[in-house]
Parts: sequence; structure tokens; C-alpha cells
Amino acid sequence: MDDQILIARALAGDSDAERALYDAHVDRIYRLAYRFAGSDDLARDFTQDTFIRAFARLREFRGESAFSTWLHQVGVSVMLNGMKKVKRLRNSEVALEHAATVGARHREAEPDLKRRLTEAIDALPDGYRMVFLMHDAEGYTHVEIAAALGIQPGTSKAQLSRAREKLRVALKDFAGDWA
Amino acid sequence: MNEREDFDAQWSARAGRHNPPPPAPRDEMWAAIKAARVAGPVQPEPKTPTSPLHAPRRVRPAVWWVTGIAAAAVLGAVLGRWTAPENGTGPLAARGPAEPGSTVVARADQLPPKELPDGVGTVPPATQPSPRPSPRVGAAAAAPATRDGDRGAPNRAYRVAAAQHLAMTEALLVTLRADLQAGRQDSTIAKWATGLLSTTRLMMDSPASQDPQLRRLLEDLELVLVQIARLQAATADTTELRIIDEAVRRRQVLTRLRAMAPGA
Repeated sequence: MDDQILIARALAGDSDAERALYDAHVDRIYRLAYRFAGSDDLARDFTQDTFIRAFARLREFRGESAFSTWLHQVGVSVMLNGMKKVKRLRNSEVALEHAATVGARHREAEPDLKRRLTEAIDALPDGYRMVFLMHDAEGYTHVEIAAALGIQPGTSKAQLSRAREKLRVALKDFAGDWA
Repeated sequence: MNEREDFDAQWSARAGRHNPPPPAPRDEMWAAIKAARVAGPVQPEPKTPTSPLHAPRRVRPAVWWVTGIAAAAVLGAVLGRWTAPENGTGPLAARGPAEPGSTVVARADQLPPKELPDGVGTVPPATQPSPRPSPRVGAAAAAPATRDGDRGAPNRAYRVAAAQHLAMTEALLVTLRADLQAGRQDSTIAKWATGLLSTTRLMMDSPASQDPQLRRLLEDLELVLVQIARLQAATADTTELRIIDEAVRRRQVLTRLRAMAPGA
């Protein structure tokens, strides 16, 4: 059923319509949250928060964009702010340069490309990481990413390029393993 | 194909396979969403996505500690002002509303000094007029303990303090979960929880707990914070953390915390 009809019914208090909206979009939001947060716990929290906030603000949705776009705006905001809290509290951000240095030092002892890849992605600044994961891991277009993040598509492309550049640097000692 | 294009091409193939998400636990999350929406309205989020390019400067963990202590102090002051008697002397006026016609409505200054508990302080003699007569005397004797005239001000102040407290508690629980995922246990988290536990109990003993939703949340928070406060020093054994996190998850404490608006 069309999102607009479901939204109208949800605004009228139809809980089945709310559930239908949820079912239609939850998988993409959860997948993105999981990619970004890296764990099921946080992904659940972010997904739940996204829908709680979206339903609470459903009247603000004017239909100027697709509901999915608006929902992603809410979701990306929840995820970025949520990760900021986690990182701020734990001071767990590792500078990418540091990660690269550490990786280079332990190249012999820790040849685990998968783990290094995870570390390198985690070390990206959140904005770059979000663009990178949305585009390269989840297949969003730059137009979709731009709409979700409130930036221009050109900015999305630039951020993706910078993210890849940082990964190239961080994983340069694995260059041969890519092939 | 140069190095850059090669990397991009290789990445595109690998990216989808890297850390693949499991199927979304739809029903579990829906149940949590419904529970949170029943619990209350959500805290407002900025309408536009927060651009990481314009993100505020990182706040050092020490600032969180200072903020927490300050929030506890503010909350204590607010609760103290709210529940304190007008004449600010003894505990009698703070014992809660008196029944109409009850004989317990006598002013503190009408009691002989020998009936006052030790350490209460100086009570003006009955023959001396009180500088600020209690509003609970005479016709106003049946009025509630809170001051009706300026009820709005302490309510607003309380809501601010409560919001700060809930935010700090959420921060603690998020930290706990992050610790668990990282397989470590921070030695300072128990101390942090102890401070928050005191504030939680202050709130539970205040008129704020008349709000049933907040009351239930505070009761659950108290249980969780007691467990965290009892954690031993830093250790690699995260069994206790896991048990606590399980309790947090079972009671949906984090979700309810986030759903509880500052003005709820």
C-alpha cells in the first residue's frame, strides 16, 4: 500500500498502518544502523529510536520528499548523534593515522585483513563513514545520501572520495591482498 | 587501472560482504517501540540532520563528571526548595499534607520546645510572631505541602534537573554497553553509578515521583544503578556487566529513558 495512505491512516490512529509503515522500512534502517554501529545492540537502539521519533513527528511530514527519504533523515540524525554519545563518553575514537601506524607495525603479527578493515572503517570520521557505508556497503545513490544527510550530492561524492583515500592509506600494506 | 580505481573496484565487491547485518529483529524492536511510545513523548531531536562537519567540539569525559555532579547539586537544591517548609525551620511542615480538621496542623511555633526533636534548631516562642507565617495555618491548613503560589517555578526547575539526570543516566548505561562490547570493565563506572543512585533516590522521595511513568522508570533505574555501584574494580571478566545489561534490556530501560521527555 502507498506510504501516503498509510501515513494518513497512521495519523488517524490506525496502529495497523503504523506497523505496515514500520515493516516497509525497518529493514533498510536496521541494516544501515548495523553497518554504522557495528553491533546488533546499538543497531536495535538506533532503529527503535528512529521509528519512535518518526512516529512522534509524523505530522511534520509534508510529503515534499518520499517518506523513505524523510525517515532516513531522522535515522541518520539518530545514528550520528548516538555514536557521538558513545564515542564522546569513551573517548574511543582512534585517529586514522594512528590506526594505520599500528597496523603497519603489526603487519607480520596480525595479518587479519578483515579485522584491519573493520578498524580502518571504524576510525573514519562519522560523516565520512556514514557516506562510505551508505554508498559502498548498502548501495545508496549520492542523491539519496545527500537527502538523508542534508548535504549536496557533490559533497557526498567528495566525502566518499576522502573516505576511500583514508582507507587506501590505512590499508596500503594490504594492497596486494585486494586482488 | 590505477591504484585508486583498483582499490575502489575491489572495495565495491568486498563492501557488501563486510560485516553483513543479520535479519532485522522486527517483532522485538516493534514491541520496544510500542512500549516506549506508551511510556511517553520523545525528546525533541534537531529537525535537520546534524552535519558532522559542524559537530560541536568533543567534550572530555571529565566534563561529564563535573556536569553530573553539578546536575546532582542542582537537583538536590531544587528538591530541597520544593519540599522545604515555608518557615524553613523544622521537619514538621514537611511531613506532607494534613487531613482537614486534624489536630496535627499545629504550627511548629505552637509546640513547646521540649517536644521538638534534638537538633531541629531554634523555634521562635509562641508569643513572638513568625516573620513569615506558614500558609498551612488556619484555613490553609489542609493545603498540600507544596507552595501553590509558585508551583510552576519549581516544576520547571525540577523538569530541567530531571532531564539532566536522565541524560546522565542514559550516558552511563550507554557506556556500560560499550564496555561490554569492548570486553572491559571500567573501574570508575561504579563510582559514577553511586552518584547517580543518590540522585535517583532523591527524585524517588520527591513529589516528582507522583508521575507514575517516571516513578516506574526511577524504580528500575535504582535497581540497575545499585548493581552497577556494587561492581568491583576494573577486570576483564564482564560476566557481571553482561547480567546488568541483560536487566537493562529486559526492562527496556534505555528505550524508556530516551522516550521520557524532559517535560514529561
